[in-house]
Amino acid sequence: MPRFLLLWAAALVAMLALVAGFNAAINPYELFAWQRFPGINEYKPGTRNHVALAKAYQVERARPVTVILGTSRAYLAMDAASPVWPEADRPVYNYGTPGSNMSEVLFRELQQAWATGRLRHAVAILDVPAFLTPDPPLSRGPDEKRLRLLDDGTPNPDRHAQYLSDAFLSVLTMGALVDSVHTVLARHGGDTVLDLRPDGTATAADFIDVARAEGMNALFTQKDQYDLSRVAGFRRVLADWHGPMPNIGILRGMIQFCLQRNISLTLMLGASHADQMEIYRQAGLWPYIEKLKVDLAQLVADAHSDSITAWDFVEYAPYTTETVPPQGDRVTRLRWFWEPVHFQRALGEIMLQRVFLGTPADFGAPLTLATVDARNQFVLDQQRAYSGWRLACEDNRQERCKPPAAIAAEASR
Amino acid sequence: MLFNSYEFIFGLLPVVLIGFYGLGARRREWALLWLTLASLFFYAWWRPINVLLIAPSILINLGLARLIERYRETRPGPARLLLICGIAFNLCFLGYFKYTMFLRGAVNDVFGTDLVLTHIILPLGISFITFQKIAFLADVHAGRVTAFTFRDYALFVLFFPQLIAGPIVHYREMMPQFRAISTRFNAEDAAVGVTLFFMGLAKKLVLADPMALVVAPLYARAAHGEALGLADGWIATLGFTLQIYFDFSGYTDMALGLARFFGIKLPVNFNSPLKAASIIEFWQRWHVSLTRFLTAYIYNPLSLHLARKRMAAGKAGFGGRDTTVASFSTLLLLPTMLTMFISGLWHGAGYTYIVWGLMHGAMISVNHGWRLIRARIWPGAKDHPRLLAGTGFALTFVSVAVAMVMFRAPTIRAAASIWGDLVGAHGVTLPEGLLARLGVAAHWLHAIGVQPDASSGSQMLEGLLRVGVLLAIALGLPNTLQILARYEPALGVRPAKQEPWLVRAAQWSPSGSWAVGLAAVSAAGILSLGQLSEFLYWQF
Repeated sequence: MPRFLLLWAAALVAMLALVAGFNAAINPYELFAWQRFPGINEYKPGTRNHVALAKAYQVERARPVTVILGTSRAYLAMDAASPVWPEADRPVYNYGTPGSNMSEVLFRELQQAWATGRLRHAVAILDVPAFLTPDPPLSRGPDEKRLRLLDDGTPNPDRHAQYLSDAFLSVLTMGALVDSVHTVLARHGGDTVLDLRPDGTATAADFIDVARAEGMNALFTQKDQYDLSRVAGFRRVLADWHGPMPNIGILRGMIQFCLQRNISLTLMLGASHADQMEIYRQAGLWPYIEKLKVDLAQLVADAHSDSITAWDFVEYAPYTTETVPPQGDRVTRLRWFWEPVHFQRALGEIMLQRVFLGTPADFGAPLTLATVDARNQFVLDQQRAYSGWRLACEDNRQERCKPPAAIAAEASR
Repeated sequence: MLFNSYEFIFGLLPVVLIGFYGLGARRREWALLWLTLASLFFYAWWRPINVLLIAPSILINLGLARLIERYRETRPGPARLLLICGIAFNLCFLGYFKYTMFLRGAVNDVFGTDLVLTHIILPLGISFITFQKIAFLADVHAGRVTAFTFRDYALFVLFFPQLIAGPIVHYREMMPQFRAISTRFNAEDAAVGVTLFFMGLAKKLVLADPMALVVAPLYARAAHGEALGLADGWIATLGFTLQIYFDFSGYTDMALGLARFFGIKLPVNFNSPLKAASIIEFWQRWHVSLTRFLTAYIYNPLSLHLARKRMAAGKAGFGGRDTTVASFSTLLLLPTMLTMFISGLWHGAGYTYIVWGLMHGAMISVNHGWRLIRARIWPGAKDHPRLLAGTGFALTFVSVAVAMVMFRAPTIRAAASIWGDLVGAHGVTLPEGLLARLGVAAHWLHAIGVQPDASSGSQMLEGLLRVGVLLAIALGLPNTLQILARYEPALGVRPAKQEPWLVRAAQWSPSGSWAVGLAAVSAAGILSLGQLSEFLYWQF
């Protein structure tokens, strides 16, 4: 029996050491500053469920001059390596984090990016629904404990302990082992492999995978159902809401933070597909979206600084009114959207071009107090045209029903 | 403190073992006192105030037991009164913490009142500890336990391997072991203990917990009034049955293993219940110590009392071919339903648990009824088990799984909705992506009414795969008691005279291959202790 116990203990220690060594070498969550080796750990699919962990340490290594902030939309669609970024604004880091709320991703991550030392510019991709209901109070979970600064701006005393905990759990857990194996196996996966590049930009492998398997109609249907399930809650909250839209205070805090530290801030109300906009319109929420744009324009005006700008891409443009393929069609791909909420990197690129290069001039517009009313009226006219066409289209049951020419001129730019 | 935590496995357990063997080498009493104090620390870890709650209860029970013992023979009346007071005290103690909020809610539901539902924090393991204390008082009153000291009693109640989740042990089966315990290191006990503990840890963390990721979203959907459909309904049903099966099995193995480190053999509590060929057999294999308690202290006394009343009234008794519907109802159905009602309530303070208990009561009664009918229509049925074992197994398995829906669902309405899913009441749908990959089979499915839905095909396949693997393990492989039978892993367990080849082949021995195999299982368990889980990726 003593021999059994000794052999068991020795084998156990050896196995755990082997696993720890393998996980540390493969580095599935980008925790360590190791280089990636092609054919071994070039892609990092294991970051799928650990984006906040990976990005908290990536951003420190990246020490960005420009940071992209936002939720999963920024995470998927904004390319930190885009040639559009002005040379002076590089390096760019994409801090977009899926599955998080506005309070977490915007202000916290702005602070964290600033704390790395050379931040000059921040680009925040804003989600419309994030302003239709207030965020819950911030929790002090591991996500905050990883940051250099706490929410109140003071140094985070738990950071080193959290790093040790993350390092331990990144090498000595079954999940890390499984993710390391996936990392090694993913070396020939092509675009179906989820990867988180060192600059924080991610591949849309999950969407590509589902689009291939189930077709884009399934993606749109699922997201439409999700959006529909939320509108009643939004209506309830907003019925008794007075003053600026929910969560506007977060942006006001960010503007103050940026002004005090000489950081330029670009707020971009990200594009939504017509499906989502129509759900909000039919639910009677569109006036709130117009009010949101007014609030954003007011924020910019209150800042009294050219370094604070806001852009609006919520409109019925050719990019946002692509026709969704019918159910069962697993071949047709949309060019600009994965589903009504998540736009593709190609559209992210168009939005960056519009903001930094000025083209295409017919998509998106800056939000200022002088222009916001006209902008709202313009989008409302687009909306009426689109809704009218859609009704007619559905009534006539046209086989190849395309949006009217005014809206649906092929987006060939 | 949980058994499946870093602080327990790498902190408290090694310290307790070193202290136990170190002190035991000098004085046995010190080792036992150390074990009691360590158990108290284990209990206090989660909420230290728990000790202040449980300690007075222990002292009161000890005092009552002393008085009962003193008067048991000389003044049986007061002794009986003391026993009743003791039981009432323990039930009130349990009731206050566990059932106050439920009762207030029930009063609000029935009478439309507006009683405040204040959340009362439940002391850890209170249900187990309470039953154990009641059993102790009853045993003292019956003369089955005679001599005991404060130290003995405290160790019996607090012994940490069985403190939180059982088994519910009897003083008379534990104290002889504590008194005969060797406080010197015993390599065989350590090897058996290590094997039991880490097999249990792997069952809990590698098999049971990942199933929760499949099951929890399905029950959450049902709770929101969403229909799951046929396939997801069955995944929810079987998935939770297997989750709780491996969870409880794993925890029980860990408890057996931990006790064995100290040379103590706990009673059998879990013995492959899903292999049972009848619901009666199921309860002889599932939570055995609870069944034993309920039978001995509720069912039997009640049944006996009712039988005496019937006989005094000149009415027929129960048993054999002469059993009447009235005697069956009075002497079997009524006590069974009441016992299982209490069993349900003991498991949790909620309507769903009560319904679950009553469902099992009804199923057990039907099983007993069938035995009576079978004896009449199929006399001398020696070949009966051979012919009907398969049917009995299938019926039992499905009944247990279907009843488990009520155990897991947050409301009776959600459970009923899932039951509807099981029979296709909400339509038969499959994920569109899955159907798209089935080729021509999809047309056949469509022809028989299967419709596409927007749920995730990969999630459904993952659920089915997990259910399949866990089902194969639960039904196809020998259990830990069988694997370790030569080393008496639980009190009284011995190798069966005739075992199937798989059980013989899987017998544990202190060999090199078992050491390496167990190391792999242990590593899997340890690696699963601290999964990094930050947030779920957004759902498609």
